[in-house]
Amino acid sequence: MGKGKTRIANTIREQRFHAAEMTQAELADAVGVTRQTVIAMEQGRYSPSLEVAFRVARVFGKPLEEVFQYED
Amino acid sequence: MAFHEKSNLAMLAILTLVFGIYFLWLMPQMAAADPLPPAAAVAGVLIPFVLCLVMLTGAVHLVFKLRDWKETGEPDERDRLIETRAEARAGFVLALGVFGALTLLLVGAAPFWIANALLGALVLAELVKGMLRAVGYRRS
Repeated sequence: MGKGKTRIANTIREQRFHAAEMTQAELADAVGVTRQTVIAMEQGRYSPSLEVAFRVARVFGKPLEEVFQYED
Repeated sequence: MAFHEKSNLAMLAILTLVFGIYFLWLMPQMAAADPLPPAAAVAGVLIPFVLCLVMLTGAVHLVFKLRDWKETGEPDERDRLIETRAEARAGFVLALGVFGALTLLLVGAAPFWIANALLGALVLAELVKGMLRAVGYRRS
């Protein structure tokens, strides 16, 4: 969290699309966060904890680095 | 807007309304009295204000819960992070207010002013916390 975008990019929007257009609310329920947190993550405004990041990746059945990337 | 964000904005509005009435209308009237009322009178006057605060807060939260019953879960890690950051910064305001009240005590101010300074510090710290939370929700 902080000013503007974080340096952690993610492919959550793309992963949701490939997961039969999973809604933000469905992802939020599966991960155990609020829909607003999913929105903030997708928009790059919020970097989740490692635990939530792993949970997101697990929902999509992908390795962590395929969902989250650190931008130099 | 999530339940916790709406709840925060509602609390901010209620606090501003209730304590705005106290500090801008009632307290100046009490301060104009000669002699000044004792500190206990401040506590007595505050009881209806606190009751009003509790009732308004309860009513607003009930409405939010009835309207968005799905979004009223436990705060998640983002909510907690926003809360923690806002609390840490509001703590400085509270500490400053307490030091201000201590200074009043040291210069021999009337208990009425010391009680109001402490109450003001508490309310101001809560308002700062609410505003920082509101900003936190918008920026992260």
